[in-house]
Amino acid sequence: MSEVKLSVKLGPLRLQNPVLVASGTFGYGSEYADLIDLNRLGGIMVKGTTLHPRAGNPMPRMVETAAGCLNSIGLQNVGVEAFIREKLPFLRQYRCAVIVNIAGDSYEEFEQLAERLDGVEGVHALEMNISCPNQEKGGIHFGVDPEATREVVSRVRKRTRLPLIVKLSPNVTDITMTAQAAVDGGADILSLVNTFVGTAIDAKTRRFKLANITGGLSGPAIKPLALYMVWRVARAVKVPIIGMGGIMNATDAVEFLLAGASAVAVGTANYVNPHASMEILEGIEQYLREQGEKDVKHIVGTVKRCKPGNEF
Amino acid sequence: MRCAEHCEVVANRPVATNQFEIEIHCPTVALHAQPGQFVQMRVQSGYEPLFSRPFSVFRRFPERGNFSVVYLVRGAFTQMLARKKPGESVFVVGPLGNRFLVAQPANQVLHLLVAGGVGAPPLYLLAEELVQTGVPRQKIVVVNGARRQDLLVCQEHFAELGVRLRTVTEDGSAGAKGKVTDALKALHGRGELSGNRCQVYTCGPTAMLEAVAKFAQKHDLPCQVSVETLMPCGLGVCLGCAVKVRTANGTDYKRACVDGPIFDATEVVWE
Ligand SMILES: Cc1cc2nc3c(=O)[nH]c(=O)nc-3n(C[C@H](O)[C@H](O)[C@H](O)COP(=O)(O)OP(=O)(O)OC[C@H]3O[C@@H](n4cnc5c(N)ncnc54)[C@H](O)[C@@H]3O)c2cc1C
Ligand SMILES: Cc1cc2nc3c(=O)[nH]c(=O)nc-3n(C[C@H](O)[C@H](O)[C@H](O)COP(=O)(O)O)c2cc1C
Ligand code: FES
Repeated sequence: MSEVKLSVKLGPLRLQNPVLVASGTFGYGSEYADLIDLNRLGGIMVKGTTLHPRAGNPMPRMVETAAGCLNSIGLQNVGVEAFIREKLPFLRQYRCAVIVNIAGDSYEEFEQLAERLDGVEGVHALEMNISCPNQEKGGIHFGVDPEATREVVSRVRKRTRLPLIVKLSPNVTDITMTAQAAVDGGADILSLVNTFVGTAIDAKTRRFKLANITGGLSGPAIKPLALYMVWRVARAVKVPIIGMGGIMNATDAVEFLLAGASAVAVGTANYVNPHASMEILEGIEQYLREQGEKDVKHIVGTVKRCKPGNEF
Repeated sequence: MRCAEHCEVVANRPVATNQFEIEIHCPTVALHAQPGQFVQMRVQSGYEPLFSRPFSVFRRFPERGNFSVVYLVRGAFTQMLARKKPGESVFVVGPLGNRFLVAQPANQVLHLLVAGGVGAPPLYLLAEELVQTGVPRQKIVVVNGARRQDLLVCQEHFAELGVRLRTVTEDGSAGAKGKVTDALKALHGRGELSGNRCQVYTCGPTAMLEAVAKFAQKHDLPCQVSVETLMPCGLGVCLGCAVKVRTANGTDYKRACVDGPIFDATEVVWE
């Protein structure tokens, strides 16, 4: 059997394969270390990290919905110092890329996080979560405003030499505008999508199901929306894309590659099946063999129009 | 040691109204599960419901490599589980979470196990361990409560162990009429809890846990509660199972799936 090349280069970031695990769905890696071989992952995007530890939102913070779930965790995390001290040494033992997902309430917080993580051994890239409120602009999320997106990205760009990934919010009218703004600000790579804002109501009790009222929707329910956004952004910008949103199996992952993503991230599926990322990696390899492809990068963005008369 | 694998159903039999005991072949859980620990189970191949469901380990059969859980049919998942036949498979992740800690020296403590409905199974596993490790049976008191007789769980198993069993039902259809806290008050009234070093372990609906925790606190009895929350991952990563706890400088959230499900009752902030 001929070898299939799985390693990918996303601008300055090299990955041994295109399967990553999404921020907030894989903790700090150690939680899964006895169930799967972390060395086989393309990369781990760690839980959203803030400058100071955060306790998170009141319960209930998560609710199942049709083929998905809403979460309003509220960025509960240990903070950047404890991350470096307590979580990173474990991750350094593995050869997968470690991508630190950072989130701030202000431009300064983002700058300080980038500065603190620059040059820290074992950190291979930063992913900016800009789906968080910008306290300097009355709490409007950075990621829904192209100007705030460009500004926050360019400020972080000046504070770090690490490959810079910007994670786009899908809660916008035209995602290519924030995508372009992130690239203008200096993003090396775009990742998309983050969760879609939604809510859930209990008809019987006439109450919201989440203490926070709203939450972010993830899981299979969002896949068609995410896939569309990846396809649009891939045609609008030149930087590589990490696609995510509802990827549950290898076929889902391949669809994102065909739509234009150079790599994929597995999120909610990690909860449902701890082996999901491994099964997706094996499935992509098998797909490439079946399709007679020798290199995963050859299928990126190769989706074609449907053929009339071939619907069934 | 824990696993995440497809396991064979060995038996799945009704034990009471809407209740089943399912026995599953899974050597890892059979060998390693401790009283209070749980497994995440999945039978659906689609996305309805999306997440796996948590169930406490009830019995272990290490020599056959099997374990069992008792479950109440409530919604979509448990309805599907009830239809599983021997030979079919269930995806099992576990054992997960922490365990009940046995107060020491174990044979000098009065162990008070307070169960409500399907909260009984993990307490049965604890009672069995206490008996097997040589704790005198008269030092193990089980208060088993439910709304009605047909909702009582594990009755015959507790009886077989020969521990002191106090049964209570809200409608009086079995044992004394009332709630588990009424049984606790009665034990206390007869002086059975004083003069003894006593440890309470409890599992059941949240309102009951809170009532038992308050009773224990009032009478200065140490108490461990097994909490119930939604558990999307069971592995400590989603933070959807948070439990509010007291800390030196206020409150914080802990994860029911890895820091729990067993917590010291004084630590939990009841909301
Ligand atoms: C650590 C842990 C151990 C558990 N051990 C057991 C066990 O040994 N046996 C057992 O039968 N169950 C146990 N449970 C509860 C079990 O996980 C739920 O009953 C199950 O998730 C229901 O799934 P479902 O899809 O059938 O019902 P769902 O569709 O999820 O729920 C149906 C209805 O029941 C209600 N409901 C769901 N869960 C609960 C609950 N826990 N308490 C009260 N109402 C609820 C829902 O609000 C809904 O209205 C345990 C839970 C935890 C956290
Ligand atoms: C419980 C939960 C927590 C999350 N936490 C973060 C986070 O801290 N930072 C972040 O950028 N994205 C976070 N996400 C979003 C995921 O990384 C991902 O973008 C999203 O869930 C879509 O992918 P999926 O449908 O495969 O889960 C979280 C998602 C979930 C479900
Ligand atoms: S269930 Fe996911 S962290 Fe506990």
